[in-house]
Amino acid sequence: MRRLPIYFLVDISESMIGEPIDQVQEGISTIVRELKKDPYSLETVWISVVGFAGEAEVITPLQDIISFYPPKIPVGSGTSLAKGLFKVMDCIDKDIVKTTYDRKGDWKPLVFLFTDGVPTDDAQIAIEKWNKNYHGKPNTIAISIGENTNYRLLGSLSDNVLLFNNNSENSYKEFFKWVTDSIKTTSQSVTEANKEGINLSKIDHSILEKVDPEALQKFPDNNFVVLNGKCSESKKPYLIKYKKAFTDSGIAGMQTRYYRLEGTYKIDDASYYRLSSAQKSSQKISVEELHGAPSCPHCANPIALATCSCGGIHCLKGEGYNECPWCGTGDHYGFSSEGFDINRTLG
Amino acid sequence: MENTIRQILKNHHIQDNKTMDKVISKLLTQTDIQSNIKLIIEAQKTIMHEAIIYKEREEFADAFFPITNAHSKKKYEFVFPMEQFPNIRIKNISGLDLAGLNFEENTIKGIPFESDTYDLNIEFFHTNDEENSEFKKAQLFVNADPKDLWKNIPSDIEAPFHKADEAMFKGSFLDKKIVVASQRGRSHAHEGKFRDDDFAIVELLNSWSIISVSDGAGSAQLARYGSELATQSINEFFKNKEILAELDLELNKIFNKEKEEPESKQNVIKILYRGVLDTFKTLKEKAEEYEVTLKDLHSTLIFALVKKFDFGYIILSFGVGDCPINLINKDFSDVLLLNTMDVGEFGGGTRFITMNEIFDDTISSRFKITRTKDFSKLILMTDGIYDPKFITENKLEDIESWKTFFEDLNGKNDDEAKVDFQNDENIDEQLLSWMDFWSKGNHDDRTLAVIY
Repeated sequence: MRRLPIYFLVDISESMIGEPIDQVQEGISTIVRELKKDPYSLETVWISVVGFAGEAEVITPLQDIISFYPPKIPVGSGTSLAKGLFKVMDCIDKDIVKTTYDRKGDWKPLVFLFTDGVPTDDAQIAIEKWNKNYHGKPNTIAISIGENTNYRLLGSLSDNVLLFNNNSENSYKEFFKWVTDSIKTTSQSVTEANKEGINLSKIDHSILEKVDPEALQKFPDNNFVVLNGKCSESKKPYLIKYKKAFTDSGIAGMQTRYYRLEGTYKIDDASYYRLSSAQKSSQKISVEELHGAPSCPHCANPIALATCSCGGIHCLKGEGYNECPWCGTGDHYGFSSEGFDINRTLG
Repeated sequence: MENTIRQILKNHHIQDNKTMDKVISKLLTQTDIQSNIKLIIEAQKTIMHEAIIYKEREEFADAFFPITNAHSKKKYEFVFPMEQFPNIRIKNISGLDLAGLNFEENTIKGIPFESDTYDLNIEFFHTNDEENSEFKKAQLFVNADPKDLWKNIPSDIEAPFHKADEAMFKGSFLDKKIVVASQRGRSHAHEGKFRDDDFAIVELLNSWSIISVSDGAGSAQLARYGSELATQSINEFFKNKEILAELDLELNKIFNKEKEEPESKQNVIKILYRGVLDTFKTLKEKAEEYEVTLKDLHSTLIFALVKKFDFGYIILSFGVGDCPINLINKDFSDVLLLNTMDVGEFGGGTRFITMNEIFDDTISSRFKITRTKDFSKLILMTDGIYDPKFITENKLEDIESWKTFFEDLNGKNDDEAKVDFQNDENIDEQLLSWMDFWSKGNHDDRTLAVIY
């Protein structure tokens, strides 16, 4: 039997924490739910989920829809598109069976790349390798979640670069329905002989729009600030995510940028550090720019944004003596009325 | 008790030293302090007790474990991996009844009756706090039997060039017999499309007979008509007395003389070539007549033009596309592939009789002249049979695979469908119902012709 292998190459960097990652998780489960109802897909589609943050990892190895169970998507620090691409290339080399005289090969694989950010490392070598050996081998669809990606870079990987506009509650639902329909049409048409090109489902332009990779793109400023803290009680890590917003500056026509608290999220320590880049972030942000006081998602501590002289962010019961869960030093903590800089993650 | 006091003092940044020892011993003499400390220790115990309950409950709520997929109408059992959570008990799982499953002793059990995705709500408690339940969500997937998902929509009888969804034929072929069946594939049936395969058999003059088989391309609009035209027109070409006489003459020259006759071989191939070219022209003319493109008629073509001479059976064969013609010898110990197959690196890379490009220098390699004293079977088929039953090209030239194939035809299959070549009264119907076999991922049109 010929398989139609589908790879989901998912950006699992910290900026995806919260809603986006939940929705990717939910989305993959919706895709599987729908494909299970389609006899073509049920008999031919095989799925693999590969995640990339600072490091890349095969979250689910290639398996048929019949045995597939949606995985728990981890997060890590950093956005190494290069490592993600290398990982998928490894998978393709290992998994895909080619047709020969005495072997029945697979259908051309399909790669869906989901990313919401700009790589934190140089993806050039990976892209060159991809283009030299892999371009056109799998059918690739690059999907930019939000406008914060480099279209030109994505365009150098795929002829299909799409921008996902998450502007309504229904967007994700519609978006994953589109992905499902695209897989369905592809799995049908491969069984019909002689179709080389990729068959994407019709695009709803309010949700997905085709992007011209050559068009001049204005990069918005950093959309998110993500901080990595540790619970003083349980020593478990968490992330605090702030989203960019603007407020009137008091001067007519001018606005001040600030970051509004979006939420705090528990993360799995093992997978987080495994997937995070070894590269340390030297980026800092002034707490004056951060609006909203988060509490610790692990324990009942009301303050999640305390920082030690070592630079580590952690939670705190209140003013008084506390031990830093990062470096172990104990000290007396008090509130700072002045602004100070705090470490950001790579995002 | 002393340690508790020490900890309290430490928490208030009072250094632990000799003076402190004295303070502590003084404090310990006071009964109200003692009872307060007791209360603190009790309170701490209670808090810790509660904290552990919360912690363990939280860890279970956060834990991720995939629940093995179930299959509809098949016995199912899933045991929750509770070893890591010794103090957690699952009380109940709601949502299971919808799937026809039940939960007892940490196990989901039963025979799910309907395929779907079920949202489960797992109710659990901590053994030290049985009164308070919490809930955890999970999903259970019940897979459908793919057979239940395929629809069988009849094709539109009113449509132009309509063709029956199935066809069969039995009769004689020279001094042998022939049975053919052709069936619309599941993928076409699912969408109410047409059967694109076709076949045609003609008893010709001068004791010649011809069988041709064609597989219309699924992506071509009028493939059903293309395959019909291809088989009909090649047979039509050989209904010509002069052409057949010419073939007789050349073949007698080749096989009745001791020395090689390369020129006669060339002449035979030239005649066959004319036939194929004629078919191409017919398709082209019809495309123009109906104002469609040649692409709309894309079809493969194989044929075997056969006659029994004094020196044996002569089989003149041709093929374009990925449908094989095979000849199995008298004692079933050897098999020959009588045509070149066009297969691509990825699925679907085939060629069609409607392509200009096949009429190049290599076309002569598509023809074969085969002589055999006698044979047990001559078989023509489309890839709808060859893909599921032989899987790869090399198996077509492997006699063991053919033995398995004929055992299958003889009833060694899941449906116990048998094609009886001895008592062959209903052999055509038998072949058609055998052809309805299930094969995962293979849903192409199927055509099989056996001369026996």
